[in-house]
Amino acid sequence: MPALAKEKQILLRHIDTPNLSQISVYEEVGGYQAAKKAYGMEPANIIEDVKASGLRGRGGAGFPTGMKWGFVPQNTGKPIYLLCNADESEPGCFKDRVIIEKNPHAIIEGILIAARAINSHKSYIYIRGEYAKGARILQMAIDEAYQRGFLGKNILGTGFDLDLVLHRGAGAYICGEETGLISSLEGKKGQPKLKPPFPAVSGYLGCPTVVNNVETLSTLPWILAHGGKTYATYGTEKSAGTRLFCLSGWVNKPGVYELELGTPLRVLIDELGGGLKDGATLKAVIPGGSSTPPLTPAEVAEATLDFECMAKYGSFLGAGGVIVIPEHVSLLKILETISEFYWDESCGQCTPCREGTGWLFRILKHLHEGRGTSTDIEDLKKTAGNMMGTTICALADAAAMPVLGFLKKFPDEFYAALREREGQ
Amino acid sequence: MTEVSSPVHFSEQMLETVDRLIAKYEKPECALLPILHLAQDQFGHLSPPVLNYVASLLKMPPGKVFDVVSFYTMFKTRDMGKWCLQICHNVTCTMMGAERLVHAAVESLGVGVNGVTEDKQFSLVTVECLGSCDKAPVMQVNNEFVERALDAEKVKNLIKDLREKGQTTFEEVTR
Amino acid sequence: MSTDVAVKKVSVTIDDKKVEVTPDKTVFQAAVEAGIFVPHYCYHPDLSIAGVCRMCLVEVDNAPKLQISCNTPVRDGMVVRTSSDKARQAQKGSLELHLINHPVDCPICDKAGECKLQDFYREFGLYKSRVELEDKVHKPKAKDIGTIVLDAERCILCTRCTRFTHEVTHTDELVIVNRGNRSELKTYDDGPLRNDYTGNLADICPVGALTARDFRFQQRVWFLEKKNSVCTMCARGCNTTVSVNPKTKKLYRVEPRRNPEVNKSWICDTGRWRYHYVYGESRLRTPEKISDGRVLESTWHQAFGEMKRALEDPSGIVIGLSTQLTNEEILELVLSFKESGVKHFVRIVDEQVIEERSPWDGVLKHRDHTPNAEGFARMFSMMNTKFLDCAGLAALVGEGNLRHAWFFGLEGEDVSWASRFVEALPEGVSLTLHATSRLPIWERAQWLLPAASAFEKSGTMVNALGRLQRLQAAIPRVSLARDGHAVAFGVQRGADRDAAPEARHVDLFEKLIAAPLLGREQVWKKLDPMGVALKERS
Repeated sequence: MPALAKEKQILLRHIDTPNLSQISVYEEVGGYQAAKKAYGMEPANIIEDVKASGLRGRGGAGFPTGMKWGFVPQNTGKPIYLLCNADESEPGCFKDRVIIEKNPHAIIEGILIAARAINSHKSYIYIRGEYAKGARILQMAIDEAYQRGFLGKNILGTGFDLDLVLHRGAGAYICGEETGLISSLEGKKGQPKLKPPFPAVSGYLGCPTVVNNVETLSTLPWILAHGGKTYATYGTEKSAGTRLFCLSGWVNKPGVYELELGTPLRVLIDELGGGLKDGATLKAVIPGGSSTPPLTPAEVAEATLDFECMAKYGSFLGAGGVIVIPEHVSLLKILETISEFYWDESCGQCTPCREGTGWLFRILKHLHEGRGTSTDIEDLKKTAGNMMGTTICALADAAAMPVLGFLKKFPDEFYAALREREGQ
Repeated sequence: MTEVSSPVHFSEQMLETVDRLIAKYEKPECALLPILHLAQDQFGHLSPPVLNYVASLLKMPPGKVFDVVSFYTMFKTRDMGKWCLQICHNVTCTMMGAERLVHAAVESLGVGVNGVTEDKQFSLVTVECLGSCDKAPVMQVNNEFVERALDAEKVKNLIKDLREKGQTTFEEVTR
Repeated sequence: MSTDVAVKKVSVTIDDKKVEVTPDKTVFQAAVEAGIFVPHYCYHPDLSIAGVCRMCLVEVDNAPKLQISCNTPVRDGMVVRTSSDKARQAQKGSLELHLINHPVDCPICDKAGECKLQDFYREFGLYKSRVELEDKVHKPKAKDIGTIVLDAERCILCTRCTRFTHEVTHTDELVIVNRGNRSELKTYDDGPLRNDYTGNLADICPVGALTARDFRFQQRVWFLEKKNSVCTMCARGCNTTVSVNPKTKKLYRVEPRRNPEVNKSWICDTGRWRYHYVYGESRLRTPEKISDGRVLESTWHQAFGEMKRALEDPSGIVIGLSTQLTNEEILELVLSFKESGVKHFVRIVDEQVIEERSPWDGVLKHRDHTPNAEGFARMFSMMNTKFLDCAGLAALVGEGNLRHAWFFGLEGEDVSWASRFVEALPEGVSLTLHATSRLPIWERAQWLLPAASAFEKSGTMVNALGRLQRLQAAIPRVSLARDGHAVAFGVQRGADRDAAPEARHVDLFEKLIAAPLLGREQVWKKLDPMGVALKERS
């Protein structure tokens, strides 16, 4: 099967090599060759190559990476910063953790390439505070890279300097939002910043800044080594390449799988994931992490893992968190849990999000506890509607979308909860 | 409320670490999070005198330090005991039985969620997704992820191990 | 303004109204220029843009996503709709979410009547709250933080106050802790506020979360009338409004009035709350004669008579004029006494700080506690008179001919900066003081004449920045207090017969002051509300 044949070809191709996190092992499997190649190229050519690859950000929003780099002004006289977003916190997502713990040098090599492309001499990896083990491994890798001359002054004898600092967060989902990450790195609460100005123009400390996700950066060495055009032959027209999918929930073999974009969702769940546990029946799948609207079993049967198909079903690939929900699990409970999460993590600055997340959670809690009232479903829709597109960042949307999505695709379960109450 | 505490300060060696950290960043306040981590490791939790001390180290208005600390869940402003058990209660973990782990911990410890045992050995909290959904339900103790498939029985055993081996480090009991 | 370099303006259409604005403006500012009101809580013209209340969402060029007008730059040809169905719906939605955790305790809230939550609530016709009270997030109520009372439950977290303590006072004592709907406004250490501008927090709070202790439950705001004036507590001359109950004619509060050139939207706490001396115990209410340490209530008639008699030998008299007097009072007193043959004049000024042009605290406060030293200096030429300083007064005393010192226009309960002038006078010199208040130092006087306070008189002053501004009487003069005009008038007559003409100051200003200071006449009315910047003093 072609999809399976391409599994583990790019990001995870050496993942099972023992001690890959050590620089000597990483170099033995061809590591840092792509960086060497990049340092012989003009920055503009690196950007062109990445644009040609069709690579889109793997953090959730899916913005084309080469285009993002192209927004950075080179004539401001200010330093340019490259920030690696390792604040993986979307419920259902754990792919960056695998790269960080098993293949940290791929991230560093990606940073070397991206820094060269945007002419940045200072880079930070912002890792979520809870990833303490990952932070230790990354710090060791950074230290090794300095020792080997891949970081610091005059990298590879090119005269190019790059410093890389590992920065630990302290427990706040919103720091994964790129401007929230910047605020946090500045020593503030991780509250997203107003746009304009955009980070590419005025980000960290008011300087031009690019924020790229761990997986995005780790893909760069392969693209540079094999050429952007080769990368673009993987996947679909609008969803180039491969991605890491985090399979979790009621399946036999949960884990991180690398798949070509466009692969049928069933391949991931049934073939790689070994199907549902205990022979359970499928009820729903959340395809891209907790913020993405769910798919019905009928949709799951047809769906392919790419941006276009997910849009067709009113959902997203997000950060690749595929959560499998079996028949016996209450969707009310799932949605209440999701709502509680966004209520807990709302930074609190924009009113619709601060108040809306709390309100959604309270209604869902009441519904789930059998204390619902007849207006609850309308209130949920109305409140979620008032949160969509009305705030600084997308957290309010992330909280509202699953509510609207579950209500739309599984209305019966919610109305049944009300009927039960009325029947009492 | 008056805080009674001995004067708060870092050792010379810690102060050198602080200087090294600050030097990594463009501005001293950018080093706030790492220095708060350092202070929490040193003092156990971040009391008002500790926060004032950190503010003075970074020459920041204390108010800015207080509000930053309140924003991040990993910063503890009260004594959470020697071992802080954190059980994920997000989507996958809930689906896979996190509530059973919580019940087991509550039973073993004799305190509820957000509680601290009287002997200040344990505290229990529920936390958001720890990024290990393939191993759900998951749990973390202090900064370390518990890498073994968990059920109620194993949680009870882990607590027993931690309690009995007393001063041993976490790595030793979870190996 | 006319000196501004011409910037090419851009054309924006807002609600079918075309407006030309400079390209540095936001949609919100363009709407203000077009006279269109966009609802808002967090926007404030003198603070940074927070963009968090999401009330000012508008439709731009029919784009699917609404934009907050406060942070959207204008573009030429832009079409904006502030009250389309979509924009209205979003604004209403934001408002409703603002109210979800608000206690809606308007009947016992002191902000009622000037609360933006209440205003918009009515405007949007939200008469039924969908929220049950038991479900609301509860937070601390009515907490004392010094001059201000903080009700965290009423707070809508617009961050105006925290931006104020960060950006204006640089004190950062107010913080919003926690996150999500547990976010709570507090002082970081639960202590009192520690800055000299706390009253502004009550002004900028759009709801009843921060109220001024001084004004709390004093008056329902809708009973009060406001008058434009300027603050006279220091050389800054911050623009103010003075609120008066029209029935009792009593002064209830002083608030800043926005003037971007002088004080933006702020005043210091001294300027705001020191007005109580107007009704204070130490206020002089009637002329008093002091002899052998005994205070005898007297009359203006008697005072004027004695002064007139003393003027028969004007060489033994020195006139002292405080830099707290208005330009017109100074001019009138000087011209009047010159006409009577007086030769010696002293400018009573805080000499140590007279040259300081900037606020010592980097915000607004000047070390010079008097409001009109600059105006006084600007009028030297038109009075053609030599004014002695304190050393000059001492030298004059040394000559031995001095018998009377008449000091006019000392205002407030603390005029210690002027005490050197009194101390320079020997026992034998009879001292007459025209002052608002009685202070220990004035036991040295033979006559105390009650002066009208700055809230009881009108005229012009020039602040330390060289801005000519209007002071306007807001309340009637307390008891028998009189301004400089009335005193000059009475002394000339030697009797308290007729009243000084009303609006005498306007006449004097237009005839004698306007042209020399501004090079033009008929400007009295133009001074309100913002004053006029004078050219640099040569």
